[in-house]
Amino acid sequence: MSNMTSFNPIPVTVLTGYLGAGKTTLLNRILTHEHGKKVAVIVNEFGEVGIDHKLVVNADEEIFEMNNGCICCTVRGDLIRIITNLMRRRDKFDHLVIETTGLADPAPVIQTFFVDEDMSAKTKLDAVVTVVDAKHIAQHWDADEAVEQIAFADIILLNKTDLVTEAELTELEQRIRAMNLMCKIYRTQNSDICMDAVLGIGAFELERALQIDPEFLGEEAHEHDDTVKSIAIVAEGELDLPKVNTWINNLLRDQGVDIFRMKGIFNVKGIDERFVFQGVHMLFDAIRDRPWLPQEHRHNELVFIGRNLDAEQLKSDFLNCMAA
Amino acid sequence: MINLFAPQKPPVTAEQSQQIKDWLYEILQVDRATIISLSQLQCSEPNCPPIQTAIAIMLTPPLIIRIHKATADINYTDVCIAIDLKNPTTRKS
Repeated sequence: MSNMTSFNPIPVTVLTGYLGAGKTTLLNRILTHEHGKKVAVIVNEFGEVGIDHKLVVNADEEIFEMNNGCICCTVRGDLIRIITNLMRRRDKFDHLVIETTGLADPAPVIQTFFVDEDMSAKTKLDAVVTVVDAKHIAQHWDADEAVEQIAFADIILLNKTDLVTEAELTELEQRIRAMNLMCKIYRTQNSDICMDAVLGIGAFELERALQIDPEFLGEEAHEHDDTVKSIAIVAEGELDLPKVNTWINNLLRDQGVDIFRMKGIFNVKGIDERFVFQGVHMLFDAIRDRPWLPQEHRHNELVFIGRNLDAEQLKSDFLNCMAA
Repeated sequence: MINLFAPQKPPVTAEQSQQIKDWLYEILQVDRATIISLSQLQCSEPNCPPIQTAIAIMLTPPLIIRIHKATADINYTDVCIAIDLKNPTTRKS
C-alpha cells in the first residue's frame, strides 16, 4: 500500500467510438508514438488490428450498481479489478488508456473513477476521447451508444475525413457541436493526431471546468431534431447560493438520468471567488476556485449536455436563482 | 437536501479503507487477493441516507453491503451487522 501512495494519481484516458471508427488505430499510435509516456492499456476485446505491447490487459464488461437503482452509482467492476491489479505494477507505467467496446456506455466507465475511493485516490480521469467515423456515423445516429459516446466526449476525432466532402464535414461538425458544446473537434485521417491533443488534457480538473469557445455560445439552435443536445446559459448578475443549491438538487433528482455532463462557473453574491462545478449524471462536484480578477467580467456560464432537456425551462429556473 | 457547494464528502484515508478491507477478509475468510471496492456515496434521492458507504466484495457475483455511515466512522461491529443483514450464512467468523 505504501509504495502505491507514493506516486501521483495516474491519468486515465477513456477511448470510445462506434465500431470501426478507428479506435484501435489511434490506440496503436498512442502506443508507438515517442511521447515519453509509458502507457498501460485496457482493451475490451482484442480486435482485428493487433496490439503489440507489454502492458495490455483484456477486460470483460462487468457493470454493477453500488446503490440499488441509482444510475450514478453504476460502475465497471472489471475496471476496478484490473486497475487495482495494475497498480501493483505502478512503476511500470505513467498513463492508462482504456479502450471501450463500440457498444459501451461511457457513463459507468467515467463514474468508476469518482465513485470508488481507491480509483478516486490513485487515478485521475484525464479525458474522454471519442473517434467518430465521418463516413458511416450517419448510419448510427439512431444508436444510443454512438450518440452518448459523442455527448460524453472531451475530445472528438472526426476520422476518415478523406471519405466525405467538405460540406458533409461542416454539417457533421455542426451536428456534433449541437450535441456537445464542450468538446474539441479534430479532423483526422487514419486517426492521425498530435499526441498532445489526446493525452494530458485534464478535462475533469475543476479549475478547467469551462472552456467553451465564445463563438459557440448561442449556437444551440440547429436544424437537427436530436434528442441529445447541449444547452448553454450565460447570464449576468449575482446568484443566491441557497437558491442555486436547491435548484441543482432538484434538477439532479428529477433529471439526473438524462443529464450526461454539466459544467459551469457561478458568480455568487457575497463571495469573491468563482464557484466552478462539473457533473456526470447525479455526480456533482463544486469548489470555490480563484478570486475573480479586478479586470474580469463577473458572470455565470453553464453548459448541460443531455437527452430531452428543456432549454427554456432550464434558463427560467436558473434565472430564478438570482439574488434579490 | 445536500449542500452541493459545501466541502465534499468526508475524506477517507488509505489506512481507514484498508482497515475495513482487513475486517472483511477476516470475517468472510476470503482470499486476500479478492478485490474490495469501497465507495462513500451521497445521494439526494428522498429515501436515501445523506451519506452511506457501499462496499463491493468482488466475488462472482459481487457481494455488496451498505452501511449508513461515513467510511471514517465505520467500526468492526458495523461491518459484522451489515454482512449478517445481507446474508446471515455468509459470515464465517
